[in-house]
Amino acid sequence: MKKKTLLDVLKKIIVILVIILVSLISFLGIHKKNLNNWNNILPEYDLSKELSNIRIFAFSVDDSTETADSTADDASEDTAVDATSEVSTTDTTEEVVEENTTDSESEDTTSATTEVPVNDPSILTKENYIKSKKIIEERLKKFGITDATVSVNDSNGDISISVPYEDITDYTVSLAGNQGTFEVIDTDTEEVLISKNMLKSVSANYQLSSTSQSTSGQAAYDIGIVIELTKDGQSKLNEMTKKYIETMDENGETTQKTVTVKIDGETKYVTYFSPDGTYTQLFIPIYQSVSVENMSDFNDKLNECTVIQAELSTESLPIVYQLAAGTFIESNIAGNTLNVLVFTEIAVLVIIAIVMIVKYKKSGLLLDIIELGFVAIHLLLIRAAGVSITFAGLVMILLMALLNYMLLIMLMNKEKAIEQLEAFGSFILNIIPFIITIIVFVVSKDINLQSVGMVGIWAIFVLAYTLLASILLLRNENTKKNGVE
Amino acid sequence: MKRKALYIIMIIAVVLGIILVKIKDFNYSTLYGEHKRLEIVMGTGFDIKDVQTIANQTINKKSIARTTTLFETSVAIDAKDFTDTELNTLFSKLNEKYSKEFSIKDLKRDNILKEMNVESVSDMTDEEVINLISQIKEKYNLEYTKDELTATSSLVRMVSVPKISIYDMLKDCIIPALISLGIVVVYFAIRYHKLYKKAWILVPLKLAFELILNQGFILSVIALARIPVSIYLPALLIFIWLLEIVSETVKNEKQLIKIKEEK
Repeated sequence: MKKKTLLDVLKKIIVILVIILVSLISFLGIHKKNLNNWNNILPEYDLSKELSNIRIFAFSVDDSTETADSTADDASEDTAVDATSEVSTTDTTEEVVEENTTDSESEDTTSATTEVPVNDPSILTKENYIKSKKIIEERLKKFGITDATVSVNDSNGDISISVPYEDITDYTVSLAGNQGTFEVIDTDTEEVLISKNMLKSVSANYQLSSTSQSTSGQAAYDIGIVIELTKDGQSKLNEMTKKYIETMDENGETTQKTVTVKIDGETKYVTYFSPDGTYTQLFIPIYQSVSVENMSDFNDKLNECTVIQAELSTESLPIVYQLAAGTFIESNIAGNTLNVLVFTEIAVLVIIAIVMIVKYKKSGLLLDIIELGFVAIHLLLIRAAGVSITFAGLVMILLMALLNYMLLIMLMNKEKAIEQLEAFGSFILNIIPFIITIIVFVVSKDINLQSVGMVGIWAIFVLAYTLLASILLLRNENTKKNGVE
Repeated sequence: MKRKALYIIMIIAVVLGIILVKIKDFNYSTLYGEHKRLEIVMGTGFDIKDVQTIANQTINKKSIARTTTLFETSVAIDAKDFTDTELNTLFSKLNEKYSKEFSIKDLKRDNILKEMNVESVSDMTDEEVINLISQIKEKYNLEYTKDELTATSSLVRMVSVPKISIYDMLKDCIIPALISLGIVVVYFAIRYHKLYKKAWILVPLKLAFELILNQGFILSVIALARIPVSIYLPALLIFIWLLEIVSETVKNEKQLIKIKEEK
C-alpha cells in the first residue's frame, strides 16, 4: 500500500512537471542562437489587423478627362503580337479605361479630339458608389483577403479599404483600381465577339510553355487564366474557331485571321484557332515562358493572374477610381492597449485561481495547475495553426479557459475514473450546440467568426488533455479525501 | 407572465431603436464614424504620447494619434473634424516642440489650386503667379509665395475617412448565425422532444426567437443610450449569442436528467 501511494505521488509529480515544462515552452518559447541573437523558434501569434498594423488605401473617383478620338485605341494596332512573345503586365491605377460611351470604333483619324470626363457625371450616383464598394469587397474575398474593411462615402464616392499588413495585400490597389472589363475582339474590325457576360467561370492557372524551357534550361511555364464560357459564349467560340484560323492562299502564303483578348482595355493576347481543335475552355497566357528558377517572381505573376481572376469573376466597376493615398498605420489597440487587454485576462484567471485554492485547498491548487496546462497547450495550438486572432478571438481564449474551469469542477467531485468519464460525457452533451455553432463559424467568411470558431475548436480538442490530467491528478486526491486508501 | 412582460419591453426597445437609427443613425466612435485623418510627416525623434497630448489640448473633438509608415516617421491624427483655428494651434505647438515648419498653407494648397482650376503653377508666367497669389489671398485669406505654390511634396495631408457602418461590421455574420441557429433548433427539437412533449417544434423556435430578439435588444440599447459603436460590438454580440446557447442547453440537460431520474 505504501509502495502504491509512493508511486501515485511520483506519477503526480511527473505529470505536474510535464505541465510546467509545456507551460514554460508556451509562455517563454524555445530560443535558439542564430549568429549573435537568440530567436524564438515557435511561430508568432497571428494578430488580425485590428490588433496589429493596418494598411489603408484611399480611393477617390477619377475626375480627370481623357481624349476621345480614334488614336486613343492605337494600343491594339501597335502591339499585335504573335502567340509566342511575352505580353505586358497588368497595369494598376494609372491606366485609364475607356468608357462605354467613348467611341472606340472610330475609323476616321481626322475627327476632332474632345476632352471627356473619365467618369460620366450621370454614373456618379449613390447607387453606383455602393455598388462599387460591394464589387470591391467581393473581389477582395475572391482573391483571398478576408480580413478587409471597405467603406464608402455616399456623397462623393470616396472609398477607404483597410487590410492587414501582409505581402498579399499589395494587390489591393489592382483589385480596387481596375475596372475588370473583358473582351475578345476581331483584331481587324474590332467587333466584339465575346464579352464579359459570356464568361461562366475564370480561374488562374499555369501550363508548360510551348517553348518548354527557359534560356537557362529550367522548365518554363505560361501563367494566365482559364475561362469557361456560357452556352451562348461556347456557341460563339465554336463559330470563331472556324473563322479565325490560318489559311494558305494560291501563292502558298499563309495569313492568320486573329482575335485579340483585351482586359481592362489592354491587349493581353492575340491568337487564332486550329480548325480541327475542340475548344471547351480557353487558356489565355498573361505571362509567357516564366522560369521556375525564381519562384518569387513566378508566384508574383501567378498572384497577378489571380487578381484578374477575381476581377473577371465579379461585375465590372461602374466607376473608375484612382488611388488617393496608401498608408501603413498602427492599430489603435495595438501596443499598450493590447497589453492591457492581455493582462486583464491574466488577472481574471489569477483571481479565479486564488478563489479555487481558497475554496478547494490542495485540490484547488491541482485544478489551477491543470488549468495552466490547458491555457499553455491551447495557446501553442493557436500559434501552430496560425489562427488569426481578432478582439473577439482574444476574448474567446478567456471564455474557453473559464469553460475549462467549469469542466474541472465537474471532474473534481468524482471518485473513480469511470465517473469522471461520465461527467466529461455529460459536459460534452451540454456544449454540443455550442460546438455546432463554432464549427459553422469556422467556415464563415467573417474574420471575427472565424477567429472565435478556430479558438473554440482548438480548445475543444485540448479538453481531452483536461480529462486525462484530471484522471491522473484529481482522482487519487478524491479517493484519499474520502478516507479510502 | 414575467417573461411576456420582458418580451414586450424588449420589443418596444427594439422598435424605438429602429426609429432612432432611421432618424439619427448609431453613435459611432471616432475611428468608426465618418471623420478626418490628418497625416503629418514628423521624421524621427518624436514621442507619440506627446503628440497625443498636444492633439488633446488643441482639438476639441476626441482625437486619436497613431504612428504610420513602416519606420514610424509619420503620425496620423483622427478626429471627427478639424477647424482652421485648431489646425493652426496644433501646427504651431508641433513646430515649437519639434522645430518643424508645418503650416495650414501646405495642407490646403492642392485643394485651392484644384478649386481655382490651376493645373500647373510652374508653367505660369510670373505675372500670372502674382495674380494667382493675390486671388488666393482675397478668397482664402492665405498668403503664398511662388515656391510654396510650386512645391510638389507636402509635410501634411488631410484625408476624409468614410464611416464603417454596423451593417458592414456584421453583414457576414448574419448567414452563418442563421445556419448555425437552424441546426441548433433541429438538435434541440430532436434531443429534447421528450421534455417539450407536444411543443417540441414550438419550444426550439421560441429559443430562436429569443436569440434574435436579444441581439436586436442589445443593438437597440446601444442606439438609444448613444453608446459609441466600436471594435467591441461584434465580440459582444457573438458572446451573448454563444452564452445563451450554452445556458439553454445546460438548463434543458438538467431537466432531461430530472425526468430520467423520476422515471
